[in-house]
Amino acid sequence: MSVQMAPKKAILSVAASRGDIEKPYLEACDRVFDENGSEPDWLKKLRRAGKERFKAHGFPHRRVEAWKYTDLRPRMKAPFSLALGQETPQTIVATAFEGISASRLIINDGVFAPSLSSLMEQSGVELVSLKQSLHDLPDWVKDYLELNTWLTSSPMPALGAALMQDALFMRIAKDAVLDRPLHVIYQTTANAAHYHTKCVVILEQGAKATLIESHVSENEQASFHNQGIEIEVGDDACLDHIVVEGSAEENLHVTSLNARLAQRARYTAMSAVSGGGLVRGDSIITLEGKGALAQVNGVYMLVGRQHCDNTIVIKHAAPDCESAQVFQGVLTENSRGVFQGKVIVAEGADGTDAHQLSRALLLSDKAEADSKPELEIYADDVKCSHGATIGELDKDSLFYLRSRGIPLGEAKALLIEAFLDDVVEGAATQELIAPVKKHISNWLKEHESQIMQEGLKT
Amino acid sequence: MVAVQDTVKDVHALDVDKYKYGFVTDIESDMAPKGLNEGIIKFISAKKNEPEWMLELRLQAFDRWKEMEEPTWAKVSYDSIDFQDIHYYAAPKSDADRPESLDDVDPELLKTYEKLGIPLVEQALLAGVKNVAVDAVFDSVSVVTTFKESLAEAGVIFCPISEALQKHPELVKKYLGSVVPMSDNFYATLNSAVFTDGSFVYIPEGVRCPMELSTYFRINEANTGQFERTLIIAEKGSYVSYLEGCTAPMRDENQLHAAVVELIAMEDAEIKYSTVQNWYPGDAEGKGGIYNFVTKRGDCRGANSKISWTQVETGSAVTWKYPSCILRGDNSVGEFYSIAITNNHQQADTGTKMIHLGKNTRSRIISKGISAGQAQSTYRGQVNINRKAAGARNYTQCDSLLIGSKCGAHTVPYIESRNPSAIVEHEATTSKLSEEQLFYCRQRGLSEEEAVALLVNGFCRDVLQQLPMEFAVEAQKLVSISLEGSVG
Repeated sequence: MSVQMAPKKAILSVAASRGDIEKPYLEACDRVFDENGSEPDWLKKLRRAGKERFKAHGFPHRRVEAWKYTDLRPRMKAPFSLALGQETPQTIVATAFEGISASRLIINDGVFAPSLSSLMEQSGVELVSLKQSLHDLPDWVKDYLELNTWLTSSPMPALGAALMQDALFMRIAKDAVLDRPLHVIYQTTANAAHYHTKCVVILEQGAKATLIESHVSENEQASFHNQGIEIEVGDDACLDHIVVEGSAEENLHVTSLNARLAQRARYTAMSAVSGGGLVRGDSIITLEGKGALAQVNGVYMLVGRQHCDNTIVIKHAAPDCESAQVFQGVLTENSRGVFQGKVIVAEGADGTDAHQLSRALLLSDKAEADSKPELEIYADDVKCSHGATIGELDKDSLFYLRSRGIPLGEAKALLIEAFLDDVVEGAATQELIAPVKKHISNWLKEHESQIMQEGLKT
Repeated sequence: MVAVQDTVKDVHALDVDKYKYGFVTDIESDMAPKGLNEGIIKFISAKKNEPEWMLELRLQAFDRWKEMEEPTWAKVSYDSIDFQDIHYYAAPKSDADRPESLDDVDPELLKTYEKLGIPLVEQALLAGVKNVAVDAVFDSVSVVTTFKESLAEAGVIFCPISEALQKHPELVKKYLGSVVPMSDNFYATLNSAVFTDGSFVYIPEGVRCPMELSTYFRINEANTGQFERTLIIAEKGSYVSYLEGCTAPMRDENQLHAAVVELIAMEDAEIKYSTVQNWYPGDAEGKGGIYNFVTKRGDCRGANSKISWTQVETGSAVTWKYPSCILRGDNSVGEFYSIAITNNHQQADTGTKMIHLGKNTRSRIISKGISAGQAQSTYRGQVNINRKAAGARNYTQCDSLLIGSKCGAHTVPYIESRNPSAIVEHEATTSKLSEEQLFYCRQRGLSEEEAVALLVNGFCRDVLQQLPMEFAVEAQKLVSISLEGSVG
């Protein structure tokens, strides 16, 4: 008989195994509660609320629309144990920004290491570590915590709130213009561990700063970093944000970023991902004040079974705001690159200008690129567009280079480099872009065999 | 936009009687009692004198449907449907004794068509000139089928699906449910259980169908869901163009329409499927209107085959429709051209799926969404390039036009590629009607309404061009009529 019946969906089996994966994490929550009996009540309350929220939702999986292309659950089955980070780590892992003059803040397996950090008395910045000043928190930190931003979106920040060993709060004073970037280094040294970080960056009116985040590792067995970062950019303030994910290829890394922009605030972000086995960047950027601007760019270069997912939601809540997203990546071997961008233009947000662009280079017949650029528009005086392309390297360009005597591998690397540099250019000052470009060209040199392996036949 | 304030006024001014096809014809119906159970399904099957296997399939689908949940992922909201409060079978009384010629047809019915501007009598008279065969569907049973003879000469089978089940059961059995499985989704499963009629088209090998095949749909009886099932098979090297158009009378209660359309194109065959949908969209307050939950899918089974969907969606209160192509054969081509116009409180969530399985398969998606009043329109589409689809090519363009500040336009594309030699391109824009262009037209003496109609028709041009001649004129008028009153 030719009539087919679609297979029944295996919802039951998913439901059955569901609690099992979360169980060790919930137990870890209980241990943290027990061990930190002396914590202030508000923190205990926050941890419990985080646990409850996580318990209600569990790890995100493919049936959750925002996680359609990234399934966390199977990855979380690995026997990770909660890392208890050392304030005085044995080693400091090098980053792409060596030689750049910056105020360095090292977070080792989830704990701030003050002795190794070089936040030299930089004027205009206040820095508070939750662990260091737990019983002596300044009012602005308490005020911020009362917003409860960690318990609103996906379950991941909630889990982080329940399990965090430390949290960093940074405030840049009104009209302060930082002469050096703030460089936060997340280093993973623990094996088969999970750790949870929180970082809050507040720019007061008219402040100007650059925030660099480096993810590096020196562990042998895969670990999982659940990162939460909150950014507030005040009226006329300006933040450049650079992220380089260069940790080991096995590590798992989920970031939940929440940024809010006030009037005429500017936020430009640039991420370069070449490390991590599964990297999920979840960003929610809300343009709350009139005339705010957000530019979110990213590149990714993947090999092996690496999986990189950039999910960006930009909410235009006020009139005359501008936003742009440009994500481009190179996929080799069995890797998978995902871009999900969503622009929401609320009713009344007239004069909105929003653009999205996603381009992926597929260099292997086992790699996969998925793109979901969404527009959700409730106002009419808007200019919104998105574009997405997926394909291989342009044959004509390749031929042009080869006809000039450039070997195939080099020609490919040149084209890829140009493709990625396009995105990186203009994201911050030349001085800070240079290390990112270097990072890209180093990656290309190290992975020539992967680039050459499959794809284009000449 | 200056026109915004006017728009709000005009949306209020847009009276229900603007819908010129809103009237009810009084014909006695042969109707099954309300509700859905095995008895009703057996009743439908018996009424149609179906073979045993068909009834079995219906019952299987019904069993499966009972376990399914209504989908909620679409960006539409509506009052929940009470599936037990619907008549699942309604047929004009003369069903048992089919009219031999047009003269035997209930004059009331013919009058209805006349009011719709599709005078069947005239069509019959002008047959030689217009070259259009009409399989007129009135409620659920095909009442009149014309020009069967000339089609038969070419070897084309074009008949109601209930007739095909009698005369060509082997063909129906072979292909029914082979593109849209019986339990594909909630509404398709419901359709599989209770479908009452629809068209069946079979084009034999190497035949170019001598005329455009066309069906006019019309929902008439109050509270009857209409569950059409259409099956089109184009054998090797054949060609067929099929037109579907519809209007429906005014109602207060929402009516459910859950059709399933399956297209199968064999090697070198081509199917062109065009739809103009102008069902009752509800009144200016969003009361009434048709729920249009349709599953349409084409299977390019053979190499070098082609399936092209063109749709002009201006009606229905809620539309949920994704005509798709499975590009299985090497070098096969899928196309989707769509205009979706929503005004007042209409909601449309529509798009397509292009599943590239074969080598060098190509697809093109051109979607134009227009929102006015307080309407919400969503493009939701998927382009999937399979591992083996080397050299596949997709181009997607979806543009949205907003008229007024209370409406919404959304785009949700899913783009998935697993083959490096495939090229996938997607572009989308959302903008409001250009004031400069409006001004330009106004300055040349066009009224604002004319100017908007002109600009919107220009915006939709790429899609309108794809329609067969007979439809293109009608569709252009429809575009203007649908936006009447949206700009002052």
